[in-house]
Amino acid sequence: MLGKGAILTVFGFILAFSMYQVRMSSNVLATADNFNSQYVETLIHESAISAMNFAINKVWDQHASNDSFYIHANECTSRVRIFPVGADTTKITVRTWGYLFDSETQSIVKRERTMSSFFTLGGGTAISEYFMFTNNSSGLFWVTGCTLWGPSHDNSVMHTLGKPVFYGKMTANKGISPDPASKKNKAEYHDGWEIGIDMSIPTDMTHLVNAAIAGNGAAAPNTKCIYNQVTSFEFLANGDVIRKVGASPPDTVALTAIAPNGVIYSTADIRIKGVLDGQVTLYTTKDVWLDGDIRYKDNPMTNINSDDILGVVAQDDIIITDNAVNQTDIYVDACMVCVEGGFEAQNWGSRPVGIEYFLGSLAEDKSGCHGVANSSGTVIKGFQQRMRYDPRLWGGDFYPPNFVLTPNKFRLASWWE
Amino acid sequence: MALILDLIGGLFVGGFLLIIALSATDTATTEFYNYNSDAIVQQNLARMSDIIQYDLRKMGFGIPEAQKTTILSISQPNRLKFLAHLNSDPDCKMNITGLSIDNIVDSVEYQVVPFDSIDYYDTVIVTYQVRRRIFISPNYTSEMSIGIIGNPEAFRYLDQVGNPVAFVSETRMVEVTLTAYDPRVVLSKEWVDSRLNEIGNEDFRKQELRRLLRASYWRQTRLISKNLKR
Repeated sequence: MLGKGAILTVFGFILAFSMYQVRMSSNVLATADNFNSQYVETLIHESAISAMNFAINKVWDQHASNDSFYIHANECTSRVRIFPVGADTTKITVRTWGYLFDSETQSIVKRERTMSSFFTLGGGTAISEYFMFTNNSSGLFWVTGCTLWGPSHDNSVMHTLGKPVFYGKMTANKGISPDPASKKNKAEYHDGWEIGIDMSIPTDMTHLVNAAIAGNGAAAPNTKCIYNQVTSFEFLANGDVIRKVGASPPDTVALTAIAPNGVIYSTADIRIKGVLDGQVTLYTTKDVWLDGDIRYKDNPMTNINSDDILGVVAQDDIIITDNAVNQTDIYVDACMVCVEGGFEAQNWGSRPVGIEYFLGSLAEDKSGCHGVANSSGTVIKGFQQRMRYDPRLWGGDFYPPNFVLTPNKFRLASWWE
Repeated sequence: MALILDLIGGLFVGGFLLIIALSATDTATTEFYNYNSDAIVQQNLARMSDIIQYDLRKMGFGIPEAQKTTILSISQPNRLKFLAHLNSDPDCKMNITGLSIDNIVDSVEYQVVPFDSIDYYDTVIVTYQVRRRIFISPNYTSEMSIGIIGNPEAFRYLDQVGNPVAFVSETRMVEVTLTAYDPRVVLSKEWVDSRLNEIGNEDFRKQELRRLLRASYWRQTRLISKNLKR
């Protein structure tokens, strides 16, 4: 009797422990299933991103605007569709799926993920959106104390030393030195940085010339929008301009009368100063000389709604004249572009020390010189620069009339996961 | 006499086996409970992380370039609010029944708020609730708790190379950290007390308490919204 009882007891224990073992195993398996499920989800997500990158590459390199294909990777399948949405927008959708064994239902379940992205071929933004835009910054270092308030671009290698501060996004084509990802680079990039962006100052100014021709109508040269002699413009706060063409005596005209389209075009040097009330872009195939302060009547730093804006586009250089009024300081409110030259001070190596207050944006082919500093950074000849970004220019929605645009480019507009 | 000895011997052996069996069952039940709790907590943390991940990847969707700096409207360690267009297109809208398509920007907010506090011998532990609030125009609002965690600060804001940012505008990714206590700690104060009551030495008791109260589960995810990094 005892023997039978003992056998029954032993079998009972075996049964009980077996059941316990099964339940323990199922728990351990549940943990493993949880991990597997996460792994498969990650795999599907990574596959969807890979498929999206593949599609983006097709749009970029092969200019695909309407396409559909499958990609198999990571044991997952992705269906990619590329199609246009409107005239300048391309949409990419990716649907990726994979399979997973579900221990609860004891069946294979399908896991799916979709992703969409929109890319727009921008008509280019006004170059004045960039606070500093340089084709070649050779020899230029952004150092401690330099603060760039808007987005900036350097189409060569951008150099930093110490702790300059970039409030806008900083982009460079050939790199940033030292590498901003390393601890050696102490600069502050408040809106991030990006390298490999190849974008130079456009050289085709036909649209400015055409705007001036259209505004000029049948008027004789040197009377309205088109000039072929050295011309001085002294802007007056009432919206008029004292104009002096070549050796002719000066006359006073309304800015809106000589620039109905907002553009003045010259094939000779232009000299400017004064207080601007209105909007105008000056374009010359030669140099622009700053003979004195050039300021907005309504200061955008105190009134963001100011509508005064000056565009200065020189095929060569924009130069601060070495004259009596510019000895101690100069105020410059403008959006400037030097297509093949730079912004510089005349006699920068020998003129007395002064302060240059700049408000606006500057795009130049190569960096011009403004003064000489000693080894401790103190300016001993020429100008100390105090440069501020015109806050109205941020976003590229506000700019001088018919201003220079950056080249068309594809931009990521939005990404949905 | 022999029968009586057999019975006594049988009872003795049987009783001994029964005690072993009961003890084994108790241990097994406890272990089973632990494993089960572990699995549940692990699963819950993973789900919580999935929900946050699902939302954060939409951060900034449909926000124009010029308004990019407004995407992150609140970025605190325990609070995150961002803008996204969550009903702009049938392909790109939240999976919510009855949601209409419009051109108005929506918002998502996460907040970590204290949920409960449990008083132990030498300390008090606080658990936190992760609250999720969504507003989708014109009139969809949803507020819910997505889980309980052990850390009061769940969000860290990083730049494009993974360094903590000094300014909101630098943010390119958000690091989400979720920790959870051992469920026994949270669910059974008695269980913790029973392990501490017998310890007379204060230092050792604190050490044991620290061991028991350490975060048992931990999950950290770095999320990048492509809309922040156009």
